[in-house]
Amino acid sequence: MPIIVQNVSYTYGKGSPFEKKALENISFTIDDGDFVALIGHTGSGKSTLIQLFNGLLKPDSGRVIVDGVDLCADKTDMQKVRSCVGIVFQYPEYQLFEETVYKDIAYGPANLGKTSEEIALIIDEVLPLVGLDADVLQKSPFELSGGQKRRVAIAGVLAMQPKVLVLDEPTAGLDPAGRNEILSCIKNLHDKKGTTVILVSHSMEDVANTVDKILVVSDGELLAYDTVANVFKDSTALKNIGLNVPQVTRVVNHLKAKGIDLGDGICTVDAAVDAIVRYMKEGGKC
Amino acid sequence: MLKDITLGQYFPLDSVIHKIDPRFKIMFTLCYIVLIFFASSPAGYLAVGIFSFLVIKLSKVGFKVVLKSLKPLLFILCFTAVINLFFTGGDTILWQWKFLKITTDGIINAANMALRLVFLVVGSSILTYTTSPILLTDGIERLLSPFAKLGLPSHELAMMMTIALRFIPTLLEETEKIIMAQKARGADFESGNLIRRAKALIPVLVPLFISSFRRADELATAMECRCYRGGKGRTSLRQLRVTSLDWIALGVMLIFALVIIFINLGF
Ligand SMILES: Nc1ncnc2c1ncn2[C@@H]1O[C@H](COP(=O)(O)OP(=O)(O)OP(=O)(O)O)[C@@H](O)[C@H]1O
Ligand SMILES: [Mg+2]
Repeated sequence: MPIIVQNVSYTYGKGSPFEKKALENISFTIDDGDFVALIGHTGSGKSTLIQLFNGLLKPDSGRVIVDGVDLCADKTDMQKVRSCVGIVFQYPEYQLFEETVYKDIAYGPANLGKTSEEIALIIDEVLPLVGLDADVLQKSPFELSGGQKRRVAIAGVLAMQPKVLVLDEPTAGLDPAGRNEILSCIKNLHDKKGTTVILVSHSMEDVANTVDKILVVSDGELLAYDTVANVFKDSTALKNIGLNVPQVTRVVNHLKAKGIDLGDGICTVDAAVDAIVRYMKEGGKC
Repeated sequence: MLKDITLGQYFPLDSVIHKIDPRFKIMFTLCYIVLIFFASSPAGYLAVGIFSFLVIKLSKVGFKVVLKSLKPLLFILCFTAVINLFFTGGDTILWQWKFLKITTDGIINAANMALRLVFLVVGSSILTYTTSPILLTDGIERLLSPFAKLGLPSHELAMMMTIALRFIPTLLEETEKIIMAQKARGADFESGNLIRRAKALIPVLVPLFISSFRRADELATAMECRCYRGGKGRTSLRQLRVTSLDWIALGVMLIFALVIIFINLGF
């Protein structure tokens, strides 16, 4: 179910003195099974953009089409769209409200009309995906740690079994182990179930390590939509909009300036190691 | 829907109304509210209307915003108008159906109430739209300071009012965010009967309460870290000074008050 965004613009507070243009004339298509990152500086419109994907926000102009359904049409069944496109918001732990973790995770599927037997099965399935033990299920979500709350919130969206999963900075404020766990869980979901994933992130390393393609937004405009290697090729362009390339790419670029050419499109540590090994084998000197 | 509530919001613009001393502005607003209740004739309301129109025009906030501030009140407005329309006694009965009757007095009363409410909201909104929270506190505190000798905690009261005002937009924003998040989880706030709709609000209210308490706690800690310990011996960085603009504004206000009183007395 491809997501097609056509010439979309969005303005907050239209007609008030606080009017703020958040998105301007954005078009792109995300295909089935894509793993896409959305990057951009703070306030560039990432969170606004993702809320268009399930009709939480309606664009001022332009169209958003998910699985052939036009989200801007009046008679669209939003409940159905929202079961297809799951969004994990920035700091999702603030949306927990139930007495127990179990009930909170069950909230989404229950809204979609799943029976309690189905829900029990679903919860058994999603819990290990986010790295939680079964013994947290009967605890109150408010007595968990921040990282655990985050996992519960993500599980709450996964439990809706969306075909497209959108995550807004899911790893912000987590420890390195927690980040890696959540990222690998997302990657797993994409690889095994073929879920389309859109990941908003400020960490270029995470982006380079996980995704296939990158959407770059700056001040509400789409600057690039390309593969990881192509986007990170031009470090000055990224720097101009307050972003950067992954650290390892910076190292490779420095080496290149010093005369050690390891090749282009190196964005992960593993790729860099391979390139260095190849370079040494070919008799290059460091 | 929630975005329509602009109560307590401040629009940082550059206008004469913004520049008026907050103490004067608060007094003017009180004065205006009293005058609304004096103006009970069409001519009086016309005068209040023209005055409000000019003030809004001068404040540069824009009529759209001011009209929006009335939107959440629509229900109360209609409710009071209808109640007044049908349940006011009077001799000249225009229309009757069982116990419901419309009299000329009823129509006049309904119009009176509706107009008063509208002007009341417009007047107080203009005050908060054009006065920054800090100035508003300063103003309230100064105005209350004569009562401090009688044991009134004027500084604390002013601080409480400002914090409450300051957090209205923040809370609304937060509510909006939580509603979005729960909608993304399939919550449905728009259909079903009253009980179902009320129940659907629980997933919004619980996180909202929790975050409000967290926010209050954080704010208290932050204030303490910056050595806030109440009003005792506290001075302001910016002293309020009365300028010629304030006296001019006072003059205008006095003329307005006289006009209303004259109209009311039937000149
Ligand atoms: N509810 C709102 N009302 C008014 N303006 C808003 C609202 N939400 C966002 N904005 C504005 O729209 C712009 C884009 O915001 P958005 O939240 O999409 O940015 P972002 O890319 O997600 O930033 P971050 O990386 O900090 O999360 C910002 O300038 C912001 O000030
Ligand atoms: Mg954001």
